[in-house]
Amino acid sequence: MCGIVGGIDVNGGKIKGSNIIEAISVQHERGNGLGGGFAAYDIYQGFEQYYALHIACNNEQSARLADDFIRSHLYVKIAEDMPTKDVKSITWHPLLKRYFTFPGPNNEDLKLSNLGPSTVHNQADMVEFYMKKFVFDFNRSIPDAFVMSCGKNMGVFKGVGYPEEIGEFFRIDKMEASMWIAHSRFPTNTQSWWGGAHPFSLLEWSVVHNGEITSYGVNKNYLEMFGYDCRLLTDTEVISYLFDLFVREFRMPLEDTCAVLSPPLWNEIEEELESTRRVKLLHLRQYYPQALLNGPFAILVGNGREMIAMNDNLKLRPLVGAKRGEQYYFSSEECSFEILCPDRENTWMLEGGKPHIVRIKEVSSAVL
Amino acid sequence: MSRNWKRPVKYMPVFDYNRCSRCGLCATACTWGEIRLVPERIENGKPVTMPVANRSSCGACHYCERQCPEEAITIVDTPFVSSHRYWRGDQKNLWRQVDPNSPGHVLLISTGADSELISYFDHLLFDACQVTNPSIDPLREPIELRTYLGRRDFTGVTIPPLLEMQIPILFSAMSFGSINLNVQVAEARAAEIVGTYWNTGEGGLHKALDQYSTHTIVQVASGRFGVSPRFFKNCSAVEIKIGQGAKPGIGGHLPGEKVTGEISKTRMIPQGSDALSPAPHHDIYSIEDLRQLIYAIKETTGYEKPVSVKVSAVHNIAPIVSGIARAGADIIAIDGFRGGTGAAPRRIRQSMGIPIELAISAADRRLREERIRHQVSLIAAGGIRNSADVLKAICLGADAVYIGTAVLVALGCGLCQRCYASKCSYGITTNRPDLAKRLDIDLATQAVVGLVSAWSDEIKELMGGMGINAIGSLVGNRERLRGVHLTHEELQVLGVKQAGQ
Repeated sequence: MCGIVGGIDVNGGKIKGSNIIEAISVQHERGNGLGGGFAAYDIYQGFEQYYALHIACNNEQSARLADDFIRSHLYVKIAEDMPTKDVKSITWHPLLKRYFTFPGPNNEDLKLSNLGPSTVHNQADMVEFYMKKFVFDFNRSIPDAFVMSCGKNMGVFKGVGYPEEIGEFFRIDKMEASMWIAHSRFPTNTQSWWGGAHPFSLLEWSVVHNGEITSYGVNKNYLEMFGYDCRLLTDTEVISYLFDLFVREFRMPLEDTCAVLSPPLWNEIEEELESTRRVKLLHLRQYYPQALLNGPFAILVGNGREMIAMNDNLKLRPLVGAKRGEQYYFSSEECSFEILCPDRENTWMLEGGKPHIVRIKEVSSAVL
Repeated sequence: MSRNWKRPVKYMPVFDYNRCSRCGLCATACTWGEIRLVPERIENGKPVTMPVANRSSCGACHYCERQCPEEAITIVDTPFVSSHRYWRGDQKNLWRQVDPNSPGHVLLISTGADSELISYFDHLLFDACQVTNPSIDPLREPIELRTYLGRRDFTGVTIPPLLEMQIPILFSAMSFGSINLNVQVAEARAAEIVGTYWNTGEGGLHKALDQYSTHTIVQVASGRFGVSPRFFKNCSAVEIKIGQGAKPGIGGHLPGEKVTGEISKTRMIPQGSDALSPAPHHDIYSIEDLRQLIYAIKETTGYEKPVSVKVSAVHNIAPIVSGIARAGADIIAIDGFRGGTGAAPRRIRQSMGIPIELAISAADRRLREERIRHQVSLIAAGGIRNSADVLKAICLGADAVYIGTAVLVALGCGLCQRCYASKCSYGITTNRPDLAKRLDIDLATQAVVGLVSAWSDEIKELMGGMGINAIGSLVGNRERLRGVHLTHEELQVLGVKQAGQ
């Protein structure tokens, strides 16, 4: 059991961090104090072009190694300690660092970027491949340290504790963001550690998850063939990697990606009346069976432009949505909406296997 | 060796003469010459005979026992006990090889290896949901077994359509000649009913089976029997047979006396001539030759039919499979050392090749390491006895499995391991018209359909327990398996964790 909350303003307006903390903390029963976290988008104005690395290191030595590693691979604009506030209940925390970085213009590695059979579409892709490879290399080679997030103009703030404690610790209450996702953890599969808390993030993708991915072995095998390194000891990381693989590398539209990850049942596909859509759904399911997510799950996925709320096709985990004006909210429980949007126009239960995608307006029109 | 020397008896029928009605049916039922009728008395002026065992040729097929209307027959196993434990089994076989009636022959045997070597299937256990994850009740929620086999390649090469199956089980290659047409008709009908494929084996496609073309896989083996435009037209996929688990590296030989009218027509060879399948394909001496044959077939069929390549599980199976995948095969079938056969030298069957569990796992891993696993489909074959074996093979990396012996057992087969003799009392592995008619096609079809639907239900129960509702989510999912009583190396090859870990 875990609790998840998400909020997005389609006009790019801001949602207060204090509201998000309260909204996830009212689901106190869904967590057990072994993990809480937040992903916030559009929070580093003035530094939009830099990759914001959030790094956690268990000790001084790993922090030094991490620093050397980062400086030898990336151009560092700013390096700083993550601003935190002492919280009584958090008796230990790793050293938390924040770097604003960019792959250097003369970086040899960048030219030789080798990330398996990936298709490089242009220079921007190349940079992202490089960053992705950097993150996998970092997690593999720096002991006792991991990358919490590495996207542009976004960040993940997470740790072991109740989300309200983690929120206070990272001073989330002082932040405002156009998109939030938050998590309260009740771990059942893996031990609790700071790296195991949600959200999981890779580049701009971040994911919170309530449930269990029983197809983990298959998804992991598949991702490894494309150069993804699943090292964070949890089933949730495969979700963010799958989104990255399909949307970024395969250039698959988000709707289709969702149909791959949580497809309709075979007979539902056959009953689809519109023939183009029927054939498309059939092909997506026939050709990518290894990317299907099985098991009970409710997930929220964000990438700064879109937020996706999705359930397994049997709907074995709770997930509700709400709309107030131009803001959309999703949550494990309706009680969170009493904090976030008591004056909401609409509340609905998400159907199993029917993802809900919300787009931020300016960006989506620019894409179209 | 004395003149009146006899081999010791292994199996024989024992008659309960109090129950026996002296009907004599058993003597007709036995095709092996084990039961003779001897005069007992004269009743109402007619002679009454009683059945007696000849103690010479019983192979424990149990047909007489199952036919006896009075239930008066029991087959007994009379182990020949030598004081030398190490030699026991081989002493008997050696005596058979020097039997004065046929001295100095290679021992022939049928079906798959029956040695007591470890079965890895039996050392693997499934995971189940408890608390953190709800199990799924297959009676309430859909659990999907639909499977697609074929090439999923987006690099721009022409790819054939995928094979659609409602269950991840196909019927393995068994040729017309090794089995009779009744069995193939039953297989083809059952394949159509349950939504899967049957495989013609290397003996060509009989005309009567053209109508099942949408559920037929035809096989091109080293003898190239029956390979014709009609054969390529009336199939859904073509399989190139390189090897067979029971006899890797060994060819086949259907003696001329068995090449009767219909078999001769179907195989396209003269009646009465020996049907020889050479050990290697005479035009395949390395992987590049295989590639040529694969593409010759693809060109012939207009890239409309997937091409499968079937190989035996041998030591180097992982690189072999990778080579086959790169040679253009859409599907690769691996046949483990337990795989069945109509006839093979006993020593080959018992001691050549490796278990399918290890082979499929090694092949799946190698294809993943080379980042091409998702492009091709793998079929595991050889020794799949039940639905749990099916699912374990899938968790170890197979997309689907072939079953052969299981189908024959469903038709009644007593597993006497003498298919090569063409005297099958059940009418399965014989083409003698008087015996072949013992198999009722309708009942046989029903039995095969029953086998598949029972296994499907069991697989759904297992998947429900694991909380997985689509079979694709189990292909190569070793996380859902744990091993017991296996060494570290064995676990490593299987890619499975020790139970408790």
